[in-house]
Amino acid sequence: MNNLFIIYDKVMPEDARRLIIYALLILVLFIIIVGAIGALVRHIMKEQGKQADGLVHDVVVTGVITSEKKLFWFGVKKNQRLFFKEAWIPFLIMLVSSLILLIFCITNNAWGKNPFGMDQFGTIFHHFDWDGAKGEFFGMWIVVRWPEVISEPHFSADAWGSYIFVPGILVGGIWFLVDVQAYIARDWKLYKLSKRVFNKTLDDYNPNDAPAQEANPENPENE
Amino acid sequence: MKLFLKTLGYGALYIVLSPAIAAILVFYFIYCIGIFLFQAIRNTIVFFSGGTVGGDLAPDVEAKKILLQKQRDKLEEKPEPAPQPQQNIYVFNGAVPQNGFPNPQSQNMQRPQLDQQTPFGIEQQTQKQIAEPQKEVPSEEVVEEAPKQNDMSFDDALMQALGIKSKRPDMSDESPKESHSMPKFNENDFDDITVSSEEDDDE
Repeated sequence: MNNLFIIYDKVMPEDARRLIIYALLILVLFIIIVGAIGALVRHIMKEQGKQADGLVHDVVVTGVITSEKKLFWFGVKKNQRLFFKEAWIPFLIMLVSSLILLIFCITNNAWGKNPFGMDQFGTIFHHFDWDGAKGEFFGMWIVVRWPEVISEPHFSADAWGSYIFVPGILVGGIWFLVDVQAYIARDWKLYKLSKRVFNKTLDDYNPNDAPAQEANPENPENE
Repeated sequence: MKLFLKTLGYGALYIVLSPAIAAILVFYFIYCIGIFLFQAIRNTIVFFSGGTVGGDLAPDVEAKKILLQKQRDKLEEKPEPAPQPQQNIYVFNGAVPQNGFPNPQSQNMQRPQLDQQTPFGIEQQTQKQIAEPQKEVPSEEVVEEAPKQNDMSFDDALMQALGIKSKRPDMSDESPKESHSMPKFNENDFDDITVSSEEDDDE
């Protein structure tokens, strides 16, 4: 450890030291951002999981279902129905976008073209010559000057299919992914509920506190 | 600091586990597409066979029946009580109204337990709290004279002073049904009273 410090203090030039410090700061910042996004996703999934309580509340309160296994599978069935209700719109968007791309490929014979490529959906963005802007910097090959513009944004008649397919698939895909996340959250909540609701534990039981109660007969469903 | 380190730790964990998280997400994405297609086919068959697409499952129907039955049982158990007629009876024992208004400092004043209190502070007593049966004073009876000692309630006196007719039930069988009259003063009643002269006031 002392050798590393000596190397850092005596041998390494000032610029290299600054570069290492900046790189470490960027790494810590990146980790913090990922952690914050993860916390946000956890919070959202917790809120989404609360819907699972409403799905199985009545059958538990009225005593229609009294076993852990039956509660979990009943909950999964209800969860699948709810997922279908929530996800049919984004699925429809993705389906329609895919149909339009299919029609585009049939009419323009564009089967081998990448709809996300520079000559398709990429025509509406700026394109820069990054390779020409690179140079050597302290032994590293990095961008050292402002790149030249290769193409300006424009619409191309040969890429009309991608203009509909790419936004549709992105919107529908992200929306569907959020519904999938909600499905996972509700499944996990149902699993925890089924374990907790019918869990017979004596951890908090104190015979001196509670009055004597009659033992309940075993439910024949559980056998 | 704790939150910062916690976020840092979770961030590092998510970066390390990101391939597993991505694999789980991709698996669930494909699984959910399968669920969606299965539900779509099932709902299409149910729709064209005349059933309800978003209908309840058997345990849901049973639970709803039980809840409905419980609601009905609740309504049958507690019927709404019929509103009982209230009679406002002013109970007041004591206080000699010298000039039509009662003397609140009278020792004979006994305030009954309050059931309600009007905005003007007049105490009322509902029929429930009265132990002895009450007899209604016939409406034809008109109070013409001032009340006698220990014979009229504070509220009766007030109302008489204001010129409002009131009904006063008899508290006991012995209470006379007499019309109230103003106290009669004799000439000798004021013999003890001395009036100070103007000269004394100036001092």
